[in-house]
Amino acid sequence: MSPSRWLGLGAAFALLFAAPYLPFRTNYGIGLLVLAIMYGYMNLCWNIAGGKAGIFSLAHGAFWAIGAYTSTLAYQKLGLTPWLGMFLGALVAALTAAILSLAFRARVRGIYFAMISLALVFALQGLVASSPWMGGATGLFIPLKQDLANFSFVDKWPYATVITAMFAALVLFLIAIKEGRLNDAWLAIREDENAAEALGIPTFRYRVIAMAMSAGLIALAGTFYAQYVLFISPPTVLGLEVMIGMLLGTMIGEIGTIIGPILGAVFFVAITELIQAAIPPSSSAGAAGGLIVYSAVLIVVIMGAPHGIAGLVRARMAKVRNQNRETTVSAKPFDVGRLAEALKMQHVTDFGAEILRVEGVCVNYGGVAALSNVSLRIPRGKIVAIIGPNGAGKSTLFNVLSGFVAPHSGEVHYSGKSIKGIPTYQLCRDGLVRTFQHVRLFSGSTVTENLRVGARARSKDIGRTVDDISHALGLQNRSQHLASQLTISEQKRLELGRALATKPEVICLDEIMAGLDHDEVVELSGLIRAVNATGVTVVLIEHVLKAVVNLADLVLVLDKGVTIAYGTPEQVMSEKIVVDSYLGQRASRGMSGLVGGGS
Amino acid sequence: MNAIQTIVSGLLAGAVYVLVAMGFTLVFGVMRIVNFAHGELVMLGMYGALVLWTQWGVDPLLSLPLVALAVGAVGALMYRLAIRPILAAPHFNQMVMTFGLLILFQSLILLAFGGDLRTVNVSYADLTIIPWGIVISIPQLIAGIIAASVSAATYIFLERSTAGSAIRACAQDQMGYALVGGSIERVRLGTFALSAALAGAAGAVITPFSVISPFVGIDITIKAFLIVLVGGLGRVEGTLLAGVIFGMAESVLNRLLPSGFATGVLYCAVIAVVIARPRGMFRGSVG
Repeated sequence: MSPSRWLGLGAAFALLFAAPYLPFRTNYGIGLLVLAIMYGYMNLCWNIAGGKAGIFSLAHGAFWAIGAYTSTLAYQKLGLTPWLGMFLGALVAALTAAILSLAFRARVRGIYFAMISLALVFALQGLVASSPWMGGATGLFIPLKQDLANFSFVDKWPYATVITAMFAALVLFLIAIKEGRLNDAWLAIREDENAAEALGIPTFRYRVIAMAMSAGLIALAGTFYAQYVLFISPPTVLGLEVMIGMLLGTMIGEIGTIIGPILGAVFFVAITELIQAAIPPSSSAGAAGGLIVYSAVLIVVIMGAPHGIAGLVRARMAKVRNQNRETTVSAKPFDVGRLAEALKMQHVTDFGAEILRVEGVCVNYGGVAALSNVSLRIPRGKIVAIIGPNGAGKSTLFNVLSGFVAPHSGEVHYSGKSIKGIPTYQLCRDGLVRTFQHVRLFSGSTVTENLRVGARARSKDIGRTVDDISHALGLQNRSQHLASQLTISEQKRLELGRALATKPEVICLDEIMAGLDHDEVVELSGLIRAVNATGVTVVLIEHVLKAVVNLADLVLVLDKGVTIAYGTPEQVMSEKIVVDSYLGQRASRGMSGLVGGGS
Repeated sequence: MNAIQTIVSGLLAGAVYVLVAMGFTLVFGVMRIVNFAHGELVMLGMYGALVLWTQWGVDPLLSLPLVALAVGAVGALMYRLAIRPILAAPHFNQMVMTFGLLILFQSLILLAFGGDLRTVNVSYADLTIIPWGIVISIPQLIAGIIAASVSAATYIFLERSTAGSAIRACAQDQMGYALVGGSIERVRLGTFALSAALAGAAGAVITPFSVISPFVGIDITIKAFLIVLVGGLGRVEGTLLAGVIFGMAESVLNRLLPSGFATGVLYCAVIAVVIARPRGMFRGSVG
């Protein structure tokens, strides 16, 4: 953040801290302030899971309630001061969230997760309401008294100071992690889970962290709320209203950012107050009128501003900025020197030794054999191409190599160790990385952010690696663009760059040439050679036969899941069966020319 | 005898759950929309039956077709005005939208009828039959039978009729359905209306023995969710089985435990089932 932004933030915090002590303060005003800040805090907590990590949790209202109940019960039954009880509550909430997160291991995602998280809320509601020791359906009262040691005040202003401090701490924490490992991992998981896993991110672990962390933080606010209103009951803290409030607040502001959820909370409190001022909430008609306005605002926002109000403003600003900016910033040529800089491997010396070994691998998809008894030895430092017609099993073989698909029989050894049971992210951290046939960038993130995710896998100096790779791939003047704004060929470069940023020892490229024109193919072939020259072993799946012949040291030909030939391009091309089954009869005449063009 | 008693009342409740959950799962299957306002449509059905009863003395069981039709129309309107515009939006937006509709329906009914609890006092409300010592409430028996019949009819409609196969085709592959010349838009509209009509019918059928308030919807939605989750989202057969199992489990737990506790245990059990078998209890494990 720029100094002026820090200054603005400091001023905003100072104002928030000072507000309850200003001469023209009113109790009503302080009450509104407390509510707005508390909702802001809660929205930000939910946003860690919902916005950053892309987890549709509807259980955060319940985690908040767990905080309220734990500290209150600990105080009433054990005499533990709520100042400590709030951390006990955070612990209980974080544990509950972690247990719920086991669902991710079972590949429960998206709406499924939303639903089971909602089931948790209703389960807790039932359990609390029928447990007399937790106050049952009537709830728990906290006596009103002035007692600093037990987090209890007669006036409102001390509460305002407490919640402002919590809020400021949370905002500073979120700013601090903004470009850190956690945040990058969450964004990657949100945008494309499989790509994240392939780039060395243990997605399950980071999801659990997002859930546990946001649950623990929001539970702190639960204790605050209990001490502030001095009464908690299943309908007031375990009802859906709290969760709906968070969803709407975040939605109205902007999901995924820091400012959005805060704006949303302010907006939310303002609407609620306006409604209450206009229609007395005592009558059921009054309450209904308020709710109608409320849902109408929500529906209009979703239809008219799907990214919230802050999102709308941001999009406008971006539009103006893009108009001013030079519109055709094209990517620069490759810089092979910087590439060598980024990829250099001092510790590797055993070139020519076997780095990948595939041993009798079979994969069946519902009775169809995608791969049958495929064996392959790949020496370190070579370029190996896998070719074959559609359905030959090329991509399946890649999935097996990168740990995405476990073979039904047979084994894959990498660096002398079987990869059986090793998760994909660990393979990437061990130096085996892959790209995807259809580019799978983190499209809502910038070029730099994409590269940074890759660099975190193995690099010691992440900033340096990102810089080297973006220069090497000629993307340096695109660094702040979103991946989705790049041209197709630039996207391919970025996908390659992101994989290279992991400093791999083996890189598997899945049809990276597809869709490129002749010049681009030549250019990219040069780059792949340069990558290989630094000592990286390259495994390619390709349809562009000419590129493969000119590039590869070894070629594997697959057809219907069976190895047809494996050897140098010359050897392979001279095999009659290859010519017949893959290249077709007519191609055989032109073959000698093709092979002759190889290096 | 107690055990059989529990199973019978569980079965009857389960039949109604199936009716509600079926509409829910159809909408999900065809549109990938989780309709949080689904239970509100059941609530609308209850109020529809209530109005016909208090104004003209029409028995809820007789007004059922009319109520189902009216709620179906509300569903069609809801689809056109609120759901269609967000079909392409992210799941999060869709979820929040149906949440908004939930609040809207709730508050509109609150405005029109107030928050008081209502009941429909039909003459046969307290009648029971006691075959082999099992006490069965007549309204619940009728509700169970009607719900089961409507569910069966819907199932046959989906399996046998042209329109039904269009719905199933869309649930499997929308693009494919469009490619062979089908109108996805019509199927979506029809599915939503059908789903709402089933919800309305369920509302009418349980009116004789239920407490009616503007806030009953969410609880119904949650139960429909859980049943659909256990049965596998978008799977009609799974929903049928899961609805019955859910009804029976609830009935057994309610007999053994205090009611809130029973709910808690039941829901936690559902979460455990979902974690263990994320694609539904009756489908093979995920490949």
